[in-house]
Amino acid sequence: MQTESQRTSEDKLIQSRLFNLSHGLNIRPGKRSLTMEMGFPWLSTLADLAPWTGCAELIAIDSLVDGERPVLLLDDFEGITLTSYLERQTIGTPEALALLERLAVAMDHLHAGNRVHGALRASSILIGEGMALRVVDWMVDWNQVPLPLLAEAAESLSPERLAGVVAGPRADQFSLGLLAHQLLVGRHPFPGVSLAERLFRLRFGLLDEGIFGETGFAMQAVFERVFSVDAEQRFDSCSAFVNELEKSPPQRSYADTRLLDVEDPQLQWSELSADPRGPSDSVEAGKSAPIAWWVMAAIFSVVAFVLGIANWRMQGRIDQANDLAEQLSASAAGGFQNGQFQFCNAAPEALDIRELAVAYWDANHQLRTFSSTAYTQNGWAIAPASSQFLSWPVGRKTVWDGSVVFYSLRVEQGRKEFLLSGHWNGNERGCLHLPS
Amino acid sequence: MMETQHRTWKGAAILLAAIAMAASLLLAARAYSLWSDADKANHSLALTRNRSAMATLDSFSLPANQKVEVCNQGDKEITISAVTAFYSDARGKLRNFNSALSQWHAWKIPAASRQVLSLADNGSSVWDGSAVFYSLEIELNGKHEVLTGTSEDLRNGCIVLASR
Repeated sequence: MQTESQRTSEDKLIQSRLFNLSHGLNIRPGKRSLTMEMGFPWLSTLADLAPWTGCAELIAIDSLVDGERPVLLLDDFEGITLTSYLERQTIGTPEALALLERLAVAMDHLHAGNRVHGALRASSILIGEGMALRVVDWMVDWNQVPLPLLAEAAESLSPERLAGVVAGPRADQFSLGLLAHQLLVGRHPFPGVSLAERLFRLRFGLLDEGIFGETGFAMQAVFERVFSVDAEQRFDSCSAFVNELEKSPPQRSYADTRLLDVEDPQLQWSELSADPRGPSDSVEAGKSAPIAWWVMAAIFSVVAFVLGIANWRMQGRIDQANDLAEQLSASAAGGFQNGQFQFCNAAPEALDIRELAVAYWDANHQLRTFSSTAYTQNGWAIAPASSQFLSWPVGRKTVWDGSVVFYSLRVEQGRKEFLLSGHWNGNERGCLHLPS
Repeated sequence: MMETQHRTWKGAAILLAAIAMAASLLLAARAYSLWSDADKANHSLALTRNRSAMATLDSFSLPANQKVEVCNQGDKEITISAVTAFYSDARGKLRNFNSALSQWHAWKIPAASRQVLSLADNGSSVWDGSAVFYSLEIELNGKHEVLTGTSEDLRNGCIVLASR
């Protein structure tokens, strides 16, 4: 595949040197026209070419400058050779047939004046805007050019020319057939691994048998006739050949079947060929991949659904257990278990617990009582912002360990006196506070 | 066109799969959390059941009400300056009587007398003298003393405030 820079340089090359056969024939753009340096002795005067200048497909000659190396000034025509054109894009069958038809007219025009091109090939033809075409080297009598100088055009020559026989108008028909085959089938009809093999097959008419299934019977017959080694077996004219081609369209369009690295935005070949698995694999993968994803999505959806249901049921059970625990906790709160007597003083001044009487369960689950005044008249002093666990140890013996179910105590805080009594909830830890 | 359609379907499938997978992961994480919560809830419920059962047993363990009757066997009047008592009402519900909440009502116990403590306000009974647990603050000889006991102690007769 050609890069853009390669093409740009090639376009410049094509414009500056349409062909250089190393024998002195050069065509290059002038300021207002193309010029052709004439190194051939067989074209000397412009008058010799005058009879064939009336055809639009044959490039016009402005003037001939005589000199040591005579120069032809050609009509300015912007375009690229058909060779270069085919390398970058395909031509549909209708366009190809139209192109062939105009070439056939041009060739027939030459033949009508008893002139033969002799080496019609893709590089002889310029394609311009709107598929305008010009045969640029029609003025050269290629039949008189020695064969060793025609290496570039060798594969476009007729068998009779390769045989060294003077070629007639039907030699151009053969060359036009080669072009037609290139345009409609997409390849040379006489393939070979080497130039020698290709020329051998061309010389003896050994057609590519592989084209039979691609062109169909009718077109195959037309090509077999135009590629006849015997020139007499070919069509009467180039136009007759193209007319027969138009009547026998190929089974498949070459543009639709050709697998070349060309840019065609409609077919997007580059996108398809970029996939290493190939177009057919891509299509299969494209079909199977979404299915796999859908299956995966379905599996995950089912898993999510099952988990959602399980979570919902689990949440229900947890709520039920919590509700039951709350109800039981409320009933348990009314129970009578020992708590641990703790008094908290959040006030900024100290307080005195003067008297304390409690009832509690002993180790034998008997209800016992404790009265502080049986041991002291002083009670407990609770510092500001502090708490204290109350108990009454006497020596190593503990008279009261702080257990409490019922309590009654008299508290003094400054000049205030409080008589507190209550049922200690043994299920809860906490402090006894003075009422606010 | 078909390639675009395939891509669209594939994209939709991938998006759906990703959403379903994310939802599965979140729900799995939530399930793990719920299993932990369920264990805690079950453990808490078992503990609460035990406590509730114990509380029920404890309430049956409380002694029955007895009337708080005091005896002053001394030759001086004794003042009961504060009384707190817990008792079961007619419906079996535990009540708390606190004399401080009744204007620090005090009882005068004449010498050589006995009396069932109770309190009525304008003809209606505030406390009928029943008690499971009682605490009496008495003033005797300028000193405060607290007498406390359970209804079991009241079976033996009156509470002796002062003896001869």
